Amino acid sequence: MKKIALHIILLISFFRIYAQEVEFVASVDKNPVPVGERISVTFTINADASNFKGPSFKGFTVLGGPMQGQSIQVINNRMTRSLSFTYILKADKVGKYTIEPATIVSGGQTYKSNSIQVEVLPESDVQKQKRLQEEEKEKSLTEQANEILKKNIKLQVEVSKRNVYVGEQLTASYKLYINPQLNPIQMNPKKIPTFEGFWTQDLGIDKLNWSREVLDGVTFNVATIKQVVLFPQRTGRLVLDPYEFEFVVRLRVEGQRKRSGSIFDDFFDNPFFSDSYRDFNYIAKSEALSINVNNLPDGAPSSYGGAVGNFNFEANLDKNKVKAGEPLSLKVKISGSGNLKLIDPPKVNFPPGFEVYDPKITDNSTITLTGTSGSINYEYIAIPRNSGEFKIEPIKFSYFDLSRQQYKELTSQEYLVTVEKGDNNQIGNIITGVRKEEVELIGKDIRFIKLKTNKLEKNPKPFFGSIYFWLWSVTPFIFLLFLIIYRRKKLSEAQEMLHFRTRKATKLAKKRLNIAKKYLKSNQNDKFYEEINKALWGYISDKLLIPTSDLTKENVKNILQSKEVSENIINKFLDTLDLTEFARYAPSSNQVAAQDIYHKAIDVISEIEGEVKL
Amino acid sequence: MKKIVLILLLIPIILISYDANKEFDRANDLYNSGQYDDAAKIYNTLIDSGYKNAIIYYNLGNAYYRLDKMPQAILYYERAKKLEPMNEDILFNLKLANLKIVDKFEPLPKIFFIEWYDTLLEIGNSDSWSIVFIVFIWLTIISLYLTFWTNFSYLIKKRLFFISIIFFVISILTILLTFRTYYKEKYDKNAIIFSPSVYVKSSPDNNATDLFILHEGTKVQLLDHINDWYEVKVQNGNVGWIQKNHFEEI
Repeated sequence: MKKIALHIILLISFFRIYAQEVEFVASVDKNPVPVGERISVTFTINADASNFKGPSFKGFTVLGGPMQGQSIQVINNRMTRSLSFTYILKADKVGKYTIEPATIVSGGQTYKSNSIQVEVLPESDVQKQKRLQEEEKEKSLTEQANEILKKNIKLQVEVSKRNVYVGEQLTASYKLYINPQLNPIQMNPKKIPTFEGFWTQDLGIDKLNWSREVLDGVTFNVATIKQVVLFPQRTGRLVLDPYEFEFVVRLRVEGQRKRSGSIFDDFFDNPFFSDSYRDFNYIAKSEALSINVNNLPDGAPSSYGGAVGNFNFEANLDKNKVKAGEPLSLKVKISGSGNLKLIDPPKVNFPPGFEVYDPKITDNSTITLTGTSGSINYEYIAIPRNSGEFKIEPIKFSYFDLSRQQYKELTSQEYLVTVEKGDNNQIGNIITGVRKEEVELIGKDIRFIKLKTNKLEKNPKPFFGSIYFWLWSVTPFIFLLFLIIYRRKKLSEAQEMLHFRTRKATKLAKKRLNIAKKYLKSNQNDKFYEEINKALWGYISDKLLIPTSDLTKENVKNILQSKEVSENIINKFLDTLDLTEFARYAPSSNQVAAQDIYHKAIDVISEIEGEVKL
Repeated sequence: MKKIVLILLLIPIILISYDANKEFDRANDLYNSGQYDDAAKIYNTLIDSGYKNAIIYYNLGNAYYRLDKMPQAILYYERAKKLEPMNEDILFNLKLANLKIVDKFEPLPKIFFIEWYDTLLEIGNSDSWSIVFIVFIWLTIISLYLTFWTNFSYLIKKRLFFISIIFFVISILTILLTFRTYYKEKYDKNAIIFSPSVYVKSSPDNNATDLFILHEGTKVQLLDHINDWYEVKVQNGNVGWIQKNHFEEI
């Protein structure tokens, strides 16, 4: 029971601590505030809190903050913990401004502070004057200091030439002049020139060597701080941008009240008190120099590779006789002074079939202020793949001679190389440049010889153009000619025959009819009909040129129809034919009927004669 | 009397040809036993005394191939190919020999119908084309004969006439091809480079600029010549001048 009570009491006491009301208050140190003065704003919370978010201070400039502070207060055995956030603001303008509430999170809850209205008052005249005076003073002080420093610290650049050709070497040195009486505490390069458009080689300076030099009557301590060799890479006006060096110099500043001359002031004018030292920042700048870079004159030889200066050139082939597959070494040495490091390797035209590697370059040149000199060696390795006599064309090297202002071309001798057949298992025998469709042939052997041949003939003549060719090609035409002639002849004969037959058709029919008439008169009826029948068939056969084998009534009808003989006549002809045939096999016929058929036959023949045209 | 003279004239020819075939067999035996050098000698004497055919050229090419003399091998394969352009063995061995030489030129691309035309010129020589022509001209005549001098029905005759026209067109084309190949054989000269390497000059002069280099075994076309300088054209279209002693005409 007692235990429970204790727990409850403890709980309640905790509760009291946490139940204590959380306050989040904003306060300012002064209100109103004159314009331009500082004002501090503090947000205080009496609990543990996090996630503070300050407002935007409209009308003020934030100079600092939020600065966090913590305080623990114990009052009446009660512990109050508070957190504060302070801003330092500057009042910008006259007027009334509201400091917006800030927010904070405590115990899972977000609290909001109160807002404060701050009145910014106009500056009082005294204040203003004081401020202006101070500003004025500060300004003149810096100006004076700058004036002094300008006279006593100098950064100067010297270039060896200001008018150069592309690739011509020049040097730039940066010198620092400092009056020995000056006391620089710090000096740091602030901006190092980039030398755009130049190929540069820095001549490193390990230690500053100070010496004394008199400049405009003043003795300075002088040291070279940077020395660089420059090779212009393009034409035009190239600018060496200034070198900037930052100094912090401690200067003695005269007491403020010295000039007033009062005793009271004099007392304070004691150097110990009033003469103060102040550090001033000063940036020394060198002059921006422009360099005029000229293009090299026209008429550069084709071998020209950018060399400017004065050079010598040697080439050396290690051997004149080599086996296929063995390397050849060609050494080219360029020595002299100029932009050695910037020269393109001279071009060596090895004969085709030589495997050529990139030259190995050995640089033996040194760069000094007076120029680059020494030599550069190029070693070309080439491996001939095939045997034979080869030429290596003369190697040409050209440079622009600065002293004579003209190009000079140096030529090596022409080299003759004898390449002997390499050992068989050497790479010299490798099959190169095989086309895709030929790949499958690699490793295959040739086909065997042919063991049989036709009977060998001495000096065989070609067939084309031989007598046989002409015989074989002309005979078909002759054959054709014969055929045509033969056909012509045959055709004309046949034509005649046909004409003859048609012309004869009527004659023959008449003849037969006459015979028939005789039979009729002698009452030989069956002979009469036979003759009539023959006359009709014969006539139609001759007239229409129908072969005897094709002589049917149907055929005759068709042919007559195709010759556009009227249906009437055709029927009449066929009827007459029918009658004759019928009467031939029917003996009981009389004279009158025979007479009739006779006339009909004559009629129909003459009618067909009139209608059928050949 | 005339007949006797003719027979007397023929006898030595028959005797010699018999001898030639025997020599040919002897060379083949030598080749078989690996004596390529001796085999080549006999083939060469046969050729020198006038016995020329594709087979001798082909066998000699093989002998040179075995002796690792690629330019010679290629030369004789090319000569054999000239006589029998469609012989597969010749083409195959020529291809293999060409693999072993240094220069590999990518031929210039051609327009398709020119390519077809060139293939037509390649697959046959003037002799084979003239035979094709004779075959077709005879076929034309025969079909014309069948059209006009027989009693076939109208439909068959119509077809026959049509066929004969086609045959006639083909025979015209083949006689044109025959003449074209004939002129090609006569005037388009090719050669094989025999020197291990030779500089091709820009003009027929020893001091002229070196244009490019050719190696042994490469086939070139001969375009023109001045004294012993020949203008050559390589497969890739490059043209220049070389001296006669550097090559052997096919």
